[in-house]
Amino acid sequence: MATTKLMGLDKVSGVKRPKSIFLNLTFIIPAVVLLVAMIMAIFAPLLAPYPYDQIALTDRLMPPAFMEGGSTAHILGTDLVGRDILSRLIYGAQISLSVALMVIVITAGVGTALGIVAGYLGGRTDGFLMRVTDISLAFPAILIALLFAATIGPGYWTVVIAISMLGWAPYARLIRGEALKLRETDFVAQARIIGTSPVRIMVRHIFPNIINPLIIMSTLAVGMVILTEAVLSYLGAGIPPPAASWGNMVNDGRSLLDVAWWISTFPGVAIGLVVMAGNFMGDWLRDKLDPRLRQI
Amino acid sequence: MTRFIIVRLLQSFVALIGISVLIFLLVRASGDPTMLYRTSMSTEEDIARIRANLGLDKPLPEQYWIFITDLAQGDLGESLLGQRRPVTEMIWERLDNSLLLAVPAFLLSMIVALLLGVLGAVKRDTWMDNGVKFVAILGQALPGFWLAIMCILLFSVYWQIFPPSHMGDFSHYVLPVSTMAFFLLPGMLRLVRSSMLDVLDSEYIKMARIKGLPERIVIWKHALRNALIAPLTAAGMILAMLVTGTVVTEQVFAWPGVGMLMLDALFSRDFPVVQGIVLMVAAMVLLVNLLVDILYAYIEPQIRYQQM
Amino acid sequence: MSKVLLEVEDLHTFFFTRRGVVKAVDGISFYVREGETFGLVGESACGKTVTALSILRLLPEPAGRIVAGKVVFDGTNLLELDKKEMRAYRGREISMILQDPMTSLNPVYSIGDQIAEAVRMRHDLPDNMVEPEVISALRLLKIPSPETILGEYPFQMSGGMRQRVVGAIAMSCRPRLLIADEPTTALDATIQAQYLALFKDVQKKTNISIIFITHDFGVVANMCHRVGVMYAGKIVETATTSELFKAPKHPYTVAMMDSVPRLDHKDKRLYSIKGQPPSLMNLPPGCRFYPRCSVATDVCRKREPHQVEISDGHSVSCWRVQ
Repeated sequence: MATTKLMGLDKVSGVKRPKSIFLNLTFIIPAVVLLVAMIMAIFAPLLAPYPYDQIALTDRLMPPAFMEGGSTAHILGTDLVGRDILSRLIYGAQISLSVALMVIVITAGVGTALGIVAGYLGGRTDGFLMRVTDISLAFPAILIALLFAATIGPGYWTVVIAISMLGWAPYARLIRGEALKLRETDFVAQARIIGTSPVRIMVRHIFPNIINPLIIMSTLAVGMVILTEAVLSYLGAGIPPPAASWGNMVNDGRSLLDVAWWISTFPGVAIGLVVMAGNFMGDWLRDKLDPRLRQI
Repeated sequence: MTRFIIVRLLQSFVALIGISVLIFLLVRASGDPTMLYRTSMSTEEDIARIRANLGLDKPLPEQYWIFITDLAQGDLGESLLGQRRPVTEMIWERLDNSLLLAVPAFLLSMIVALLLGVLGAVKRDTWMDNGVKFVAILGQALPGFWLAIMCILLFSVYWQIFPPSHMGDFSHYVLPVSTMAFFLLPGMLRLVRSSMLDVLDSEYIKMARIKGLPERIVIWKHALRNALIAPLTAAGMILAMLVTGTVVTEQVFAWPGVGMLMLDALFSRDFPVVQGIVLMVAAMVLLVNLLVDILYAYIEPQIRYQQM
Repeated sequence: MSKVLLEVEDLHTFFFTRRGVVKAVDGISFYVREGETFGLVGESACGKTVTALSILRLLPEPAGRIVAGKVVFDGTNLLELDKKEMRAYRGREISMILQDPMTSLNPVYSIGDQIAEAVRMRHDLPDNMVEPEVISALRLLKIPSPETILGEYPFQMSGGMRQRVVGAIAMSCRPRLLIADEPTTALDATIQAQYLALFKDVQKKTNISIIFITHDFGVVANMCHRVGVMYAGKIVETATTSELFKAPKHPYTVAMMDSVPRLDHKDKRLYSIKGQPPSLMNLPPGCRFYPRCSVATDVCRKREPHQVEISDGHSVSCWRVQ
């Protein structure tokens, strides 16, 4: 080996450089998917070709437009009672995203409050709250949700509350860790020295510093909530028919697989796309805002 | 160690009380609680009897006391339908069917997660690692019930290789077990891969290499045992996924297990059965978490000694 | 004079990161004789540890790569060996002690297990000889009552004791070269002295060669026969310890020595070097020390000095001595 020949140095020029944000496909594609889903959700009545519950028995089980026997009137086909799949998908976005929004507002609020209190006060409060958090984290949300469905009956708010019942725990866990670190910082010590009340410290000094993890966590939660809502609706314990939820649409097609594959297939693709977009967006935000949080 | 177990046992017990309070309150929040304990066949007399049994004319704390003392006697109540069989018995006879599904699925996904997770971590940032990450991302985003249905569509409807539902010979197991394993996979894969990455960066792994140990010993002995600690602490979460996975998979494949029993009860408005299953599964979840804590203390000697 | 055991020739180790190429080791050469202690001294992040890991070929892959040079151990260029051949050298021929004893032992295995594992790597050893060998390794590092310590776990021991165990692991296959990477930095001052004395004792008993990595000139004076002073990925001066302390030539060496508190110059103010070492990703064109050098001239800024041997075994890379 020649001692001065620098092996592999020719590759140096090819080393990756961070590209501009807007060239980054891991941002663009998820952002577009989420944006489309949001537009679908907000403007559902304007965009959907048909109402979600319009039954047309003459058009039952029509295949998607690209298949033989399909029609451009029903681009993604129709279900057993002739409802338009595309319209139901669009209305389904409304349910999925609004459930996600509700749940995230509730769980982020409760979880953040408990997390800050536990982390800042420490001691027994912390010990107790974290034990409750641990147990909540280990508890299958589906049990609680089925219990809610069995007692107060399935419905939009049942779903929201049932998912929120345990959903605050991951927030509490993360925020508590952040608050614990912030408690040791000089500016908090300074605030304490001048006699600021604990509540004020928590609200004015700690909260503004946990906004990044909160945003990241909430973005990553979108996928989780949508999936959970879909599972519950699929099982019949979530959004009840005739409302169009992606989960109960998959269930509609379960027994018709041999004659109409499209009924179950398209809503599942929609769930997968939106959940994946949410997860990618969360990862992207985490890398930009706070790469430390790789664990969540 | 004994003290540690007792404290944890007490905590589990308190959590169970929490669940019972939740059920108790939900039943009373549902409007007319007797609705949940009667059928369309119930007479005025029956309803009066249910009222008395629930103690609805008494103050709330006393009602709760009645509720909890019944439970404490191991009485999960009886079904409202058919022969009014005890709920415990109904759960018991379905439990083995659920385990026949859940245990193989768990083992399969655990083995695959270990192999892929270690592979991904060791071959970090290569195409193999990217493949592993891709599987995790896909598995995390696609709903399990939908994947199961797509498998039925392919393997049962089009190719007719495997039967689409019900229990039976080995071929009946292939689809339910593998789709459920795939549902469990991404969570476990992420846990194994990320904790393996942390461990591989550590100084003691460097030290093991300095000793001249072969790479397979460095990875499968020194790294893996440390890397397993993280998934073990998350065993509670894995169990929660297992419960969800079982309910969903049983529904999709019409598998006569506890999950199916619960869903059937939900639709036939057989509330005591739903309540019984929730309580039993809750107790099981808490028990497993307790066992994991103890096992964890055993694997990580530091905790074991501190707690003694 | 005893023969040369290890010779590092023009070693270049770079890290290829997303943000650019880090030239951690940029062409260094030195040798170590049998039974000799060679000191590698410099500020943190000047490439000392990377040099050590390059010799053992344990760089973090795939980012770290040896791009040029030779590492000749007892006549064999280690860089030309395949993975399996290289592994045979680790532990048995060359071993290393890492900086932090708190993290360099595996928390889930007992001390006895971890040493026995290293001992077993010597193929000629029958099973019933493993435990006596483990105990003798613990004895060599003067660990009290070695028989009882075998079943203990790392967290049950103090930092000083752990570092002795790490030493015992490193010595257990009777290597011919030991690399000690700041082995005392993480220890208390009193334990440091004990540990250093232990090194001398081990060397006397085994005639092992040692590469001692440190940032502390006091430790160098105490431990090493010869020294290489590293700055920003290069060795800027190398000499015997006595020569270096008597007549340091490179301005960096001089500055480093002045920044060590000395009992015989109580009145003199401690000197500290202005500024920061250059980024290894973006090195200045001339002499690497130029921006911080108090005696730099124009040529220092423009051209990099090459190494000149000014007397037997004393070389310097500085325009001031050329």
